[in-house]
Amino acid sequence: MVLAIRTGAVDITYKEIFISLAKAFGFHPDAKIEPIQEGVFMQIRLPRVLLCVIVGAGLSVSGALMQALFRNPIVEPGLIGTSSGAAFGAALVFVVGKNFFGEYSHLLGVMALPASAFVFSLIATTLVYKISTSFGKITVSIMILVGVAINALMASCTGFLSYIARDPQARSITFWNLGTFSGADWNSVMLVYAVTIPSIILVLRYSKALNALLLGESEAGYLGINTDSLKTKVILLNTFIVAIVTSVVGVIGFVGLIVPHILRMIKSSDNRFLIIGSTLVGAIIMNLADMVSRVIIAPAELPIGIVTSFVGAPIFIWLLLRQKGGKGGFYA
Amino acid sequence: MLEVKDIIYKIEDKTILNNLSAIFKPGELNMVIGPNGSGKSTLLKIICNEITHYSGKVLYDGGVLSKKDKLNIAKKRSVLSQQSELSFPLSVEEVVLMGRYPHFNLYPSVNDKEICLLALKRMNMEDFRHRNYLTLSGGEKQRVHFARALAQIWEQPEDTCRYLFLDEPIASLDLNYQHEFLRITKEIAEQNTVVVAVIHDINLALQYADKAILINMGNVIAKGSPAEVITTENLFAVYGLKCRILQNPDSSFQYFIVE
Repeated sequence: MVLAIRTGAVDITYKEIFISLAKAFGFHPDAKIEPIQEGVFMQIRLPRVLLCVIVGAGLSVSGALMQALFRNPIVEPGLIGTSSGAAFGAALVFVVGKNFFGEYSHLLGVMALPASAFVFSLIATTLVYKISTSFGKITVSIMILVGVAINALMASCTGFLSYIARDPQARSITFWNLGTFSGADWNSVMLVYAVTIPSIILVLRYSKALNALLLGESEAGYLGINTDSLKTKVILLNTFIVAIVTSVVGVIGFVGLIVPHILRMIKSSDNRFLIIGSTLVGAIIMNLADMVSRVIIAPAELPIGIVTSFVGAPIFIWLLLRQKGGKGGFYA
Repeated sequence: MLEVKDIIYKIEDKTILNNLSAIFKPGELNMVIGPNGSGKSTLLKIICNEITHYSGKVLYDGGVLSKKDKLNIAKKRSVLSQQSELSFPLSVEEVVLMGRYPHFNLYPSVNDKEICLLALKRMNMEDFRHRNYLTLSGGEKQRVHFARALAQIWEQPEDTCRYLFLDEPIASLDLNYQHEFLRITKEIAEQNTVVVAVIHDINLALQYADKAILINMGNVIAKGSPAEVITTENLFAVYGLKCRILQNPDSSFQYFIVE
């Protein structure tokens, strides 16, 4: 994390970080520091790293949740429409909202954007889940195909919006689809933390029930779990996390897929371990990816979604190949 | 005690179970036999409240279960299905611990963990406890799930009996473990437990069952002791096979062969 703070177009030393923090907390109010360094650190670098931490954690936990719910280790929010739905919802308010709400748009924008992201994300996820489930069993091939279809539908809607939008808006939408942390500021950091941390804590309470769900729905029922209410709660919480994250940083793919997978290979798929572990490892991996995105074509920066997809997609294919060839599924 | 009364279950116009009634008492090993599609598994699903839109009554200790009792009944009733679809890497220990889920809130107690170990020992699987479940063979997996089912109802409830339901539990086991499995099941039945097992092997039913029910096309053809139920006439009526029932000269068991 500290390394991530130092890396970037403007170099910042450890000493400068220390002094800036000390000043921010009220110690050493008259310590000497270059104003550029302090400004970059406090207003750009620090919020960005903190946002990376929570987004990485949120998306990874969401991946772990979806994998437990769909009982399949290749599911992640980008695959089943959660992310693309959220992106469309956000873009819709972003483009149409201004004409619609007129001068109140600024006030409403703060709430309307994530709210609309949530609604469309929930619709997309629920559709994929309902269509791929019959009699309590999930058909994987149908799930993936429906996911592709819903993603394409959402992407085309978003594409339509960016086509009718005026130029600066259109550019922002493009960035949204690719995912970027460049817009990080303290407001967005606060918003994402305020939603994600309570959601993760709530989700942790369901981890035992989610474990039981891995056995199948009827088996979980025999273990005394109300599967219908569990599914509803988990889908809601998960969509909540993904929608907020996506409305702030856009679509960042494959993190939610890979992080729980790494943890399973290290230890186990006990969801208690998986959710806590995803929070930590997700934060680290997201920061690494963000560093790469800032350094690779410095002084310019790449949208982070490009980095995660570039690394994640081959891993995804490798996973599919293992499922195809391996005996007894993935981790045997 | 478990009682099913006048169960009628239809899917659209097709009658799956036709006015079925039976009483299952603790201390007896009950076996449900019958051809494919006769309604055996459906009956088990109705007993386990997995199918709910039937007419008739399922009474546990004389009472109908409501949705609220789901957790309570899970503390004294376990169900072992034919196959489980678990496809994630979990250690054998973790899978068995799931049987204790109804008994603890967030973290398992020392007692829960001990019970898991005892259940694994009972199935001769204690050396496997750190193994990845996915690397086990089909029979080993089934033994893990049986250990899980045992762990779930390990302790006797204070007020009532325990319930153990098995849906073709031994299909994936070798000969040795089929018998081991049924011996354990019989022992559990004797310890104040209602056991209902759906089973295909008629000879195993003759040897182990205390009570048998023969079902065909949703109707009860016969019920009672295995010797009463498994007769050449009944087997011919249900399976269309000419059979002969023979007495094992060295024991009290009968066995059957197809002519």
